[in-house]
Amino acid sequence: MSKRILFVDEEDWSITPYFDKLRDNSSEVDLAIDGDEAIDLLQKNKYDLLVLDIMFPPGQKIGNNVEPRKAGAILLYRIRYNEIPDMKTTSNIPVVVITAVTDQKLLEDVKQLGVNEVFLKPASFDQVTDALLELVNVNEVKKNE
Amino acid sequence: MKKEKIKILIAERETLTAQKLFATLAEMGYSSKILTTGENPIAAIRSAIHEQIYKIIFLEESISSSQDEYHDFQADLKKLLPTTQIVWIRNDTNQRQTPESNWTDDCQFLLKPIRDKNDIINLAETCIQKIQSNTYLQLIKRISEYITTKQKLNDVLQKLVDEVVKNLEYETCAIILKREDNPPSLYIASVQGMALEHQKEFNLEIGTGVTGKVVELGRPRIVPNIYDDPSFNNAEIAGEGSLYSMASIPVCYNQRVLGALNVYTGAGYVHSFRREEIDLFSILANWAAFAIYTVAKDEVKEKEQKRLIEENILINHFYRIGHSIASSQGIKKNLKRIAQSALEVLHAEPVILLQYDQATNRLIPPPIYAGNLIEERGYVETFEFSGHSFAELIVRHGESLYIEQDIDRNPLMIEARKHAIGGMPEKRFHEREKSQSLAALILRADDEVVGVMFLNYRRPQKFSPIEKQLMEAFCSQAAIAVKNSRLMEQLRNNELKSIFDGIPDPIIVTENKFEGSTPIWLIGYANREVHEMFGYDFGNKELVGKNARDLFGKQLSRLREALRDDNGKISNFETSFLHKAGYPIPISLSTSILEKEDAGKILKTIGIAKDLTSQKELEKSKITIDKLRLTLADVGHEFRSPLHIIISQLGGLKYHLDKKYGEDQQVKKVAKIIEEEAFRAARQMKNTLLSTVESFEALGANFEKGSIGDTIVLCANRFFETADKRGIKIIVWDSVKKLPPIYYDKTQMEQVFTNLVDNAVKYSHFNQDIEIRGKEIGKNVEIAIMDYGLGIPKNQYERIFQAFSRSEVLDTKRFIPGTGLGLTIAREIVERHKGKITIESTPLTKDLVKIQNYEGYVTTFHVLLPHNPKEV
Repeated sequence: MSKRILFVDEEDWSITPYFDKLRDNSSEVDLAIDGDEAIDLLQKNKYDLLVLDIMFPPGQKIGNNVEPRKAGAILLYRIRYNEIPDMKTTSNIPVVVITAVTDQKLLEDVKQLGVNEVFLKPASFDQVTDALLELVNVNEVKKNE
Repeated sequence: MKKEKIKILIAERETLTAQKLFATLAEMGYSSKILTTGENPIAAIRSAIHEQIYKIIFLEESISSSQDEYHDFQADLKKLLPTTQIVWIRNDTNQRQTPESNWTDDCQFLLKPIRDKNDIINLAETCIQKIQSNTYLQLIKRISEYITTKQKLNDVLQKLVDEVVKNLEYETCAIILKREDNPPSLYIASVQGMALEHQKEFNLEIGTGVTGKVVELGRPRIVPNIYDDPSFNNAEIAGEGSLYSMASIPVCYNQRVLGALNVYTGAGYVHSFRREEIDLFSILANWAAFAIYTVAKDEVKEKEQKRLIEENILINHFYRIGHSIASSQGIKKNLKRIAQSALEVLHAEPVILLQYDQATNRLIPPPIYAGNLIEERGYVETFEFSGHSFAELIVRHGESLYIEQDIDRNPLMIEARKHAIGGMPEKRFHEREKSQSLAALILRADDEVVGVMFLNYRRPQKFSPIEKQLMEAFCSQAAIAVKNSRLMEQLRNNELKSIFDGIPDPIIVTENKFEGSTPIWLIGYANREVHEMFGYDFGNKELVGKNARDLFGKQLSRLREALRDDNGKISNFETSFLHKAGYPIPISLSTSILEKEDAGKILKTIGIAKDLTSQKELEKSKITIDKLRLTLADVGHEFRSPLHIIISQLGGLKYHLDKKYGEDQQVKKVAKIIEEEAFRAARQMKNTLLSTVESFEALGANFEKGSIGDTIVLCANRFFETADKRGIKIIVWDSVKKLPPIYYDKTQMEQVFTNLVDNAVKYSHFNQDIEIRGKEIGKNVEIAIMDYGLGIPKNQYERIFQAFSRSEVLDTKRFIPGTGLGLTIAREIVERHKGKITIESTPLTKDLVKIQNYEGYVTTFHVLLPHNPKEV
């Protein structure tokens, strides 16, 4: 059965190059460029892996006046604590963060919510794709140390 | 005196003599008694005179033989004089016992035997006359005593007529006086012996009748028989009252006839008024005249005294008013005093006083009152100033109004009601206070109307001309008081203003009024500094009169509350003030209450403002480490994203090529190179930016004594090649090298001067020199780095120190690289050393085009450093 990966990143050029390789390895991929799209897709489909940048436009559902750099943390929080109504995806979905944000505090906030791997942009193509293909088969999020 | 009333005693033992006496006296009409003397004649006489008052006693001289007894008796007889007359009957041959010589004059002597009865007659008449004279004398004495004690005029006149009738035994006596009407008339002022209904019918007219003619001509008239006399016109009354003869004497004072004194006899027969009677009547008439004049004068004097006392009260009040002006109390206190005085002097209650400003044509609230109000609550609201209120109409009317009754029917009151705007109080003030009469007075001083005063009277009044005069006099005084108060206040304000004009800090004074209970704060005064700070024209006092709410915005309510909470004083209240150009300027305000009402309403405040703009700019431009890091993190993000895209896209491309064409070594190599360089770029960026922040933070500052000149030379040398490439020489003068040693952090100061020289080189024109000079200023050293090239506009002096801001002045010929951090870091370091960086940039050329393009400017950066930062 093919796995499904959800990418959340406002810059699609960062993400779309991965799709070819991932699809070739029986993974279906979806891209949300803001919070609203991400929530819609989470409600629509059951994903096996979530890949997100922690900074993106929050959208109306997260709150338009929320700082973009906090959007990722809020989205992940809502996923983990089941605050997204009718979400098809399970709350303990494995998560990979690929971000250019270097703010240690923000990164810590997100890591607290349970993240399997963090990649700092710019990240190696092969490293990223290999990690994704491995994690898509993991059923749960890595526990916090 | 009626003859019957005269009792005569005859004490004569010789019967013949006694009988002759008795008969003659009877013929004359007098009744007499012959005393039976018996054994003890003196005892008998004593007993007789004890029983009865005898007017005449005929006494036998030799009636007693005992010397002692006689002596005592004579002493007793003496006491009877003068109301009783003694006639000694003397034996013409016998000289044995004579009465004591000292009272000889008071007695008469009759010789016996009596040969001629005329002797008796003459004697009797002499005695009667004496008695009569005595009676008159007593009467005059009594009246004179009466008159000299303070009596009302009517009482005096009544006394006169009473005495005439009761003690002189006339039938009727009346005093008739002239009333100075138009035409003059006569009336009965006092009367005795006339029935009331007769008095009412009594006919009196000047020029007619007896009395009328006497008054007209001023000459007395005797009418022996009033029924015979045609000029007597009260015959009927006289008949009913059985009057017969009449004497009318004019009452005159100072040759002015005031009336007449009339005496009437009864008895049904003619009475011949003797000379003495007429004289007596004249005396009484004169007394009446005198009494009328004097008492009237007294009454006038009393009125005058009362008036003087009132004047005194008035003067007292004016003194108080004047005194309060001189002691420069506030105008409201003075108005209260004036109202209170009006209450006491003019007996009105309540009194309402309103100020009027002729310049703006408006009444100035609130109304000041004195006295007790029936309805105190809401009385202020009954005075509305719509332009057509009663008070305003009065002012326009121009004259004081005296309304004795029917206040509501007064035309001005009706007109005021007509113009009433919706919301006029249900009951007007005079209705609430149940005023029956109202005086609406205008206070005018020097042709200037300064106010209106309402005197309400709860009892109906008649405003006599004198009272009106008094009110007007009071008003003009009150007007002067009001005017002076205002002038004093203005003077005080002007004094304050001239003080404020001289203070170099921005000072604002607000003057607050109230619309109902809503406070409206207006700018009462603002000195030059305030006007300049906020872009207003001081010459025109542009800010005066503006609403403070427009300038302070919503902060004004907060300010009011803060003043109330903090006992009327606050310092460093942060707020903003609207610049004329429309933007708010942050200020810190220290303010206090200047004047407030007893009830707590704030009437005036004064505040000193401090412009916080530069402070705020300073705060803004002061980059904290965190903010710097945050900014840099955002910048980092901007570098990383595109690099990531490059690498991702490259990865995707390689994968696609591998898939399609199989793995190719060339492709693999190229991809690797690109990837490596992208990563390197990322690394470089991270190092340059972040390391600055980290090292800066980590090191702190290490102050060591050293030669700043050496450090500067070191920095200058770093740029030798770069400068030389553009023909620029960097000259470090000796003044720098010779600077005394100071305490500073070597590494950090290197950074500072590196950045500054770097800037100097970057913005210098080709072939120009950069000069670095140094000097000592007190406990500091100052280093100046000067370049000749692109200038910095004044309004950017502050901005260019902010992170990532570059000069907006662009070089037309070349691109000037830079991150915009150099000056930020330089200033941060200098300030850590408790020093200062300042800029000066001025054009050297006269070419207008160049000046506008900021070319050809001499730009100098001054770095001021203390000898020892730790000692500052």
